[in-house]
Order: sequence, then C-alpha cells, then structure tokens
Amino acid sequence: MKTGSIRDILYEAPGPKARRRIAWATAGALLLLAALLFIVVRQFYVTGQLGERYWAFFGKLTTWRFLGEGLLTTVEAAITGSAISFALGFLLMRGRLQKNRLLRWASTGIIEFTRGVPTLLFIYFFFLVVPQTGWKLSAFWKITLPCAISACGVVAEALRGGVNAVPKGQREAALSLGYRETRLFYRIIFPQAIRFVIPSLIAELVIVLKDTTFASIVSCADLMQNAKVLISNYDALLSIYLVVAVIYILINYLLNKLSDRLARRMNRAGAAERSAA
Amino acid sequence: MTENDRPVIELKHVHKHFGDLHVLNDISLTVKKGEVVVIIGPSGSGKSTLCRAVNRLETIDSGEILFEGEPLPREGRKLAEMRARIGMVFQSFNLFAHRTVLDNLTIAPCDVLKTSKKEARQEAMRLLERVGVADQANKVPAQLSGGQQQRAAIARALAMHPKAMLFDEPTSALDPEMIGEVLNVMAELAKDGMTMLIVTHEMNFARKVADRVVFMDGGCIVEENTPEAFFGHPKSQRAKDFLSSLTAH
Ligand SMILES: Nc1ncnc2c1ncn2[C@@H]1O[C@H](COP(=O)(O)OP(=O)(O)OP(=O)(O)O)[C@@H](O)[C@H]1O
Ligand SMILES: [Mg+2]
Repeated sequence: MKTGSIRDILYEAPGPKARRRIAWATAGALLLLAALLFIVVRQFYVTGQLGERYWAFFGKLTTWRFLGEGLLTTVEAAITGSAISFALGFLLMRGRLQKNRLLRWASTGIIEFTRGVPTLLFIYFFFLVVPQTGWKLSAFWKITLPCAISACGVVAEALRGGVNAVPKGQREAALSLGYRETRLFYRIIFPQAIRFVIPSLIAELVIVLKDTTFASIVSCADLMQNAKVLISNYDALLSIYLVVAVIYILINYLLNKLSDRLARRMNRAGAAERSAA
Repeated sequence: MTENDRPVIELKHVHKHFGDLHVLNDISLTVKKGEVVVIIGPSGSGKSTLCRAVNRLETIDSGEILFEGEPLPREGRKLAEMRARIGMVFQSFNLFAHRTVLDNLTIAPCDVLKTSKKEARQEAMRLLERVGVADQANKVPAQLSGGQQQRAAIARALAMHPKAMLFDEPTSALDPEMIGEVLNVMAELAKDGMTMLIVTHEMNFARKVADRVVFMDGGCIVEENTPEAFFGHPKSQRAKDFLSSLTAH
C-alpha cells in the first residue's frame, strides 16, 4: 500500500512553528522528568534506600539467575496464555458470526462473561474451586489458564472488529467468483482482518503478561513471585521492586515496538511477498 | 441459428421489495447468447438490484430467474457453482486488497475450479495482457489507478471462463480520463461474443455496443428497444424526460 503508518495519516508533517513548539515542550518535559528523578533519588538517599545493603546482592550471579528463572516462567506463562486466549478468542469470534442462533448466543454469552469478570476472580476459581473437583493442576497452569480465559473474550471482540472492518465488497466479489462461506472466510476475509487487529492482539498479550503477576497467589514461581522471595530474604523492598518494574516495562516496550513493526510490515509488503512465494 | 437464440439469462415476473419499497416490479427480461443488453434509468430505479439478483447477491420475493435454462439454485454448492459461471464487475472494483493483481486472477480458479497454479498463472498473464495491465501484475491493487483496477477486475472475472458477464456501473467510480480505457475493454469483449448485461450511464457506449437498451424506472421495465429506436424515438414520456435530463447537463 502507498500509505505509511497510521501516524502519517492522522498527523500532518509539522511546519517550522509547530516544530519550535514541539522542541520547547520536549525540553520542558525533560526538565520536569529530571526534577522528579532528583526528588526520588534524594528521598531514597534521605531514607537510606541507597544504602549498600539494598543493592549489593545485585552484584551476585545467583540473584540474577533467580530473577531470570522467574522471568522465564513469566514469559512462558504469558506466551502460553496468549496462545490459548487467541485460539479460544478465534473460536468465539467464529461462533458469534455464525447464522446458527444457538451458537451465536452461546458465544456472545461467553464473550460477555469473560470480559466482565476480573482476572483475579478466575485465578481464585482455579486456585480454590478447581482443586476441590479433583482436577490436579500445576501452579503454572493455575495461573496460565485463568489469564487465558480472562483475555479470550477481548480477543474475540478484537477479531470480530477486524472481520467487520473488511469492506463488504470483498465478500461479494468472492461470492460472485463461486466461493462458499468457509473458504471465503479463510482465504479472503480473515487474512485482511488479521492485519487490522495485530496491534490490539499485541496489546492483549501485554495485558496477559501483566495478569501473570498474580502468579504468586497460586505460588507459581514467576518473576514477581521470585522478586517477593528476594525481598523477604534481603529485606530490601524498594530496590527489588524498582528493578523488577524496569524489567516489566522493558518487555512491554519491546512488545509495543514489535507490534508497530509487524503492523507496518504487513501493510506494506504482505501481498507482494506472498505472491513471490 | 438456434444455438444463438438460446437464452442465457432469463427473468420471469420477478418481484422484490425492500420493506415497503417495490424495487423490482414484475421484471421479465431475456438475454440471449452473445447479446449485449444495457440497462439505463434514473437513480434508485432498481438497476443494481436487478443486476445483483441475477447471481443471487440479492434474493427475490417471487418470480423466476434462469441461467442457461436452469433456475438459480437457492444456496450451497449448487449456487456457488452457478455463480462461478457468471462474471460480475462492480462499481468499486472490489479487487482483493491483500493480494497482488496476479493473485487476484489466480486465486479463484485455483480455489474454486481447482486449476493448477501454473496453468492459472499462464491464463492470468494472458488476460492481463489482453486488458493492458500485464505490467502491473505484481503490484497490490491500491497501487493501481482506478481504470487499471477496473480492467484487472474484468480480467479476474474472465479468468473463471464465465458464460455471461454482469456489469454494475463499471465506470461510475472512475475519473473521466479513465472511463474510455474500461469501455474499450468492454467493447472488445462484446465484439468477441460475450453475453453481457450492463448497467451504465454511458449513453454513447450504449448506442454503439448494445444490441438492446432496457429503460427502467420505479422498479419497472418501462421500455425495451434497439439503441437506434430507443435513443431516436423513445416511446414513453418517462424515457423522454430521462433522456432530456441527461442532455440538459
Ligand atoms: N439493502 C437495501 N435495503 C433497503 N433499500 C435498498 C437496499 N438496496 C437498495 N435499496 C433501495 O432500493 C432502491 C433501488 O436501488 P438500486 O441500487 O437497485 O437502484 P439503482 O437503479 O441501481 O440506482 P443508482 O443509479 O443510484 O445506482 C433504492 O431506492 C435504494 O435506496
Ligand atoms: Mg446502482
């Protein structure tokens, strides 16, 4: 496509005056940020949080290995949970777009239910109720499954939005060429719909990742849980939370970058590549 | 002779409503093999609805529509097979946005007719050549001009080897300088003996290419005649008013 990113469509290129204004605003914001950072660090200093005993253990390999193991579990849970929620979301979206009224109502019900109930309730359900039924789940699944279920309704609605955003003419053209509904969906509609929703799907991945921080409830050793262990071992709350927060922010930042990249690539080169293959 | 008199598209007493609106009112129309029939009429008279009813993109309330002597199937595989034999060209082109122009021509033959990929590609290139956009084969539709897109869309329909072609205002969305290139492709098709049902506002094209002109107003076929007779001596007052409204601006 000729168009660039959404940003290019929404905003004009700034003129000289606007550019000067942007420069001033940026400088102001940086100053404010520096001031804030100064206050925080000063406060740390005053309260003794910069003391060596709060930071020394970060020099030890075992600390990082322990955090690393937690991070690995977090990433595993987030990826597995997202994959499951995408699969469930896809099925629910298909169900909601069926002609069959029963399927449609059932899907709509599940979608609204999972969207309405907070993740924490699903986690407590898997933590407290599920074990009583005799279904033995490892701690990993006790956090991954509820996170996945909690996200699947949102995923379904995002996908449905993408499907509805494909112009009606695409469907009519395919029908006029002799396509039937199922193949028409997979060959013509869905490949276009998925491009519209990649950013919202990645945003949902970020939410699943954040939801997995509840893992300590079911004592699954994710990044957050391991951080808590470190906190009680070293009696160092702030420094550890700070480091862990930075790790989470970093991951989510990378995911957002990936999302931008993917969206742009799919828009620009998708079709050309496919035909070359 | 009898071969050429065979009706390809046949509508018998077709009625359709949109709510209270009687969009198709007792429409009977026959398009014979190799014939070019042009439908004209004021906006909202039901031209598009009639055109779309022929491959059942619109359902009808009563009456009968036959294609090559068989009634249009109502649904399922039979309907899809029937549609595959009827080419359709839309006002807004509707090329598949996620595929290259070449893919647009091969995807349906491969998926629906199970043509081999290689064969479909050769045929596609031949057709793109014919409509004059072969050099755009590897571009995405959005990179083409409107005229090029519409010519590619005609080629896409032809790739299915249709027995008849439907056109719903194929040039209405085009810049004036691109209308000619699309009409030329259509005139070529007509010359090659394609059976065509065309909704258009291009009166010169109708005069030159049509075997018959059908004038619709308010859901009815008001007049049906050869282009010479219709444009020379329209019989009904409504046709006269419509034609003079066209020359007025
Ligand atoms: N899906 C629909 N639901 C309700 N009314 C419709 C629908 N489609 C068309 N109509 C109405 O039916 C009438 C005939 O529509 P149609 O598109 O067939 O007219 P047309 O002759 O093709 O007009 P134009 O020259 O503007 O394309 C119009 O009044 C239109 O508003
Ligand atoms: Mg119309």
